[in-house]
Amino acid sequence: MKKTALLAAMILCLSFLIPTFASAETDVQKAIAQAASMSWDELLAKAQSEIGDNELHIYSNTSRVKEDTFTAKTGIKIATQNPNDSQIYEMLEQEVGNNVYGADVVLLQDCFMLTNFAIASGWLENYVPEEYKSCILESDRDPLVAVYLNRLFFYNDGGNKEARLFKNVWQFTDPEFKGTEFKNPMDEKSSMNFLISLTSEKWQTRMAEAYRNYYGKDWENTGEFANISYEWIYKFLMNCTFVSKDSTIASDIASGAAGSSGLFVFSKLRSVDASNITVCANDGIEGFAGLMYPIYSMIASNARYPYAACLYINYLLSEEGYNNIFGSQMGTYSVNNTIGISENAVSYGDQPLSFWQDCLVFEDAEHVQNVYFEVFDQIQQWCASK
Amino acid sequence: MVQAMNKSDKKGQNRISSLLYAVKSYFSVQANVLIVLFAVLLLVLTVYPIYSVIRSAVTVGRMEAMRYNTLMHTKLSEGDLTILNFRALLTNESTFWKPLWNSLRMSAYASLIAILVGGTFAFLITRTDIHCKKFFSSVFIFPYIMPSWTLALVWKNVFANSGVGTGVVGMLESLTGICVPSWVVYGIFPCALVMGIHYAPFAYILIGGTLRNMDANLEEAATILQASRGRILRKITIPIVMPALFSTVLLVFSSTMASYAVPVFVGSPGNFFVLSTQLSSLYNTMATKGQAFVMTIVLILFGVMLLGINLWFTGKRKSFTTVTGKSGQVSYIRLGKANNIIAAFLVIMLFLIAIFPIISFALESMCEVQGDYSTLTLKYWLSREDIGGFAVNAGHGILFNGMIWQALWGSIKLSLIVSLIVGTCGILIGYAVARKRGTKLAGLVSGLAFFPYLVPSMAFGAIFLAVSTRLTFLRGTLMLLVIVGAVKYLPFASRSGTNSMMQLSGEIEEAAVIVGASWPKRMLRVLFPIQKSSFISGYLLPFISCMRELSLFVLLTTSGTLITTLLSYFDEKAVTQMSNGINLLIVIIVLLVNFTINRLTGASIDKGVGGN
Repeated sequence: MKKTALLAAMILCLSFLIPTFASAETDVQKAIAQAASMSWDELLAKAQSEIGDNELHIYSNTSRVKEDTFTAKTGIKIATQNPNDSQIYEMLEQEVGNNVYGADVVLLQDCFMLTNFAIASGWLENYVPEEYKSCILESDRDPLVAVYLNRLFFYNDGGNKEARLFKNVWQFTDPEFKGTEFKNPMDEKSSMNFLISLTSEKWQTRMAEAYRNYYGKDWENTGEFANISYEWIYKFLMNCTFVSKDSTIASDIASGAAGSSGLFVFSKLRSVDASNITVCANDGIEGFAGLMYPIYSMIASNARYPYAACLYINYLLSEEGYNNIFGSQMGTYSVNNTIGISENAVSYGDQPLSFWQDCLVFEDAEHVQNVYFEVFDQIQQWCASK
Repeated sequence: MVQAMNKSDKKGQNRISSLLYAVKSYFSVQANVLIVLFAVLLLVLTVYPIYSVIRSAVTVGRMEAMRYNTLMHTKLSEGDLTILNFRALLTNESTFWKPLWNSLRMSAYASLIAILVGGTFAFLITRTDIHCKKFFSSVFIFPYIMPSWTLALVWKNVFANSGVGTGVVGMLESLTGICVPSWVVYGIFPCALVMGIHYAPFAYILIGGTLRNMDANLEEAATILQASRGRILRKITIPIVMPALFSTVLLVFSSTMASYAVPVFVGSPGNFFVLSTQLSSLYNTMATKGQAFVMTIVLILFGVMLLGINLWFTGKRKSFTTVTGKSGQVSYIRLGKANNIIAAFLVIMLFLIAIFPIISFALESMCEVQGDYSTLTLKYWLSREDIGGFAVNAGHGILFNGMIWQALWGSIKLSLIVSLIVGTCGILIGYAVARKRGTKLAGLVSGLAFFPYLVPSMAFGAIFLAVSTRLTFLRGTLMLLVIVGAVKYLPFASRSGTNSMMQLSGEIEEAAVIVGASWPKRMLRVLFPIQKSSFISGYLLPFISCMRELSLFVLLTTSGTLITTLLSYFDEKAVTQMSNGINLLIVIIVLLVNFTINRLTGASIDKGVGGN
């Protein structure tokens, strides 16, 4: 009887303790919670005392974060590593997965991997400063998007700005326009997620409309493809040419023949002679004019300097930080809707984020989550059998 | 009873002391000490990667479990053992069998081209009176010094034409109006040719080294016996260079099978996909990573098979001795009138494959607008202020850019340490393997030393990243990079060390033993000087490879630590002027190192094969 009572008492005590342990916040989570409501100066002081003379480690798939102005402004040194996305996920698995310190801030893409791999494994923490909450769409807050980048259809107009060579997205599947340069979706996750996003109801409707206008008849499901988007994807993949770098595509189109086309990130236009290049979006192409994908900014759950990491994200979201890191370039859009695009970007024909919302295929996290593997497998087969 | 016990004790003691004596006498021979030492060291350094590759191929990762559960309705969890990765890959024709067949064809053609180009070149340099030997010999190694993709880029720039792809007009079309068919620009043809030319210096170094060192008396004796040139070549020259030929095939075939950049540049645009490009795609997707490791196993198995054939061949022939200390003067074949024609042909060929890419790097590093030579500027080299504009965060011009110089020094430091370690180990492994030739231990050490070559750099880097999460004191240190580099490049040095030592007659060392020379003295004063050129190539090849390596180190260090990680930083930012300039710097530094070694020691890769 005594033993049973003792056991019951122990279970009771444990039942109080277990939830306490389970919900216990880690130091990083505590720091994030505190940092969220701090002012810049408060956070700066906290971050400086935390990090001292050490470096804030940043993993990023974009090299642009290697930025001296953050150090100049805060006195905090940074060390960056720019592996590609899958390598970043690999590093997170090896490091955070084994509780070994590697990075404080992580900037990466691919909504599917981020949610199902890194966040589901508890390797990354989300941080949204209170100060910027009202300037960021709710859908972009968790996980926090830092910036959006676009990849657009361009073509060589042969010097004739009125050419309007591409009026409909189905042209890219037409053998007459064979050879549109495109980054292999098996290697470029934003390309893969773009194609997967295309299979949503919304884009099926848009594709059907464009199909009708291009072929003069309604699309019929003959059973060969699951839906109209699959047909476009298949025919596009068979018709396109895989090229490994955006800069190569930009240069190939710039010095190519009139009518040559490709899909590359807008910012690469700056390094080529763009006089013969037209952005399909400006021609009002039917269907869609390219894709838009987010770069997320997260904090490693075993970050050594969480306050400094939060400070860095604050800097990214601020107008000053955004302008210093991305500002002068086209094709990059801050998630902070109070920040517009630069004059330099406008001079290249760039438009505000709101313009792109209707004509670009945005990475659709919800749809990608639902159909990822089915579409991925199909695309993998098509890419390999080209 | 006591007597019996004493007797058995004594017997036991005798057995122990005789065993101790056997061990002591075994280890009194330096070659035995070395072979055991390297067998243990290499087992430790290669067993984990092997285990890691196999484990990853048979274990389900989180994303793979999700994929299989969604598509095949399995109930797998992360960490479960499975054969599904093997089944998924090996039953897939378009992802595996077709690219495998493409890889095998490409590698076979590349090996053939490397041997034909490199072997012919070696023969011309070492056996004929061709003009400008020194120049040809120095320049021929350039294609190997430069990253392989630079040649692919040159190929594209020369042969692209209005009938292919986006219609960019290449040099050939703009000069002559000739448009070559698309299979010349993209596909297996340019892939095999570019890889063959890139690795032709291997053939030149290995075959040329043997030709230069072989006993001229053999050929002279055959000439006296009135054997024809062709018969001498067939019966004497080729059999003697056989080990070098096999080593070349082994290195070129394995390297081409694993090469990624060239098939991506001039293969994929022509829908020519190989195992390495598929491997990269599979590896870069967490949901198919296990299949990438199955593919790695396939690549390793091919390498092991080639290695087995190589070992079987070198084991079958008990002697490949070419250096006996009794060699006479080599008599050169007189080319006569053909000399000028061949020399002119070589000048044109070397200009295209060796000089042109360097000029192209230099010009591209000065073009404000990519490819537009009317916009030449020196600001990307000489600006003392931030370049600014689109090159945001690029810093000052290359010559005044602290970031670049720091990274360059990082790469030089790493490459020097790696090459010193690897080169020395290569000689010792070569010595031990040659002296213990035919024994199982020698075969094991020779095989293990080659193993890292068969694992793709990407996977190798990832494996050592995993190691560093267990041995945290290694993380982010130079030591980790040195270990990874040393293990990965050991095959270069061990092959060149083994080839050189195999050629050395045992009599030479015996003579030194008779006069009482100690082992270090024999190594340093006798063996090393005789095969100096080959050994030095064992130091230089890892140096060159390490200087231009990216995939191996990208996971292990920050972007400003090495020049190649910084190069990819500029590449990603599309500041092509800076990346071309950095490429040029890498080539110049490697050439300078080669030149300095040549001045200091009188040996170099090219001089080693008769360029003097």
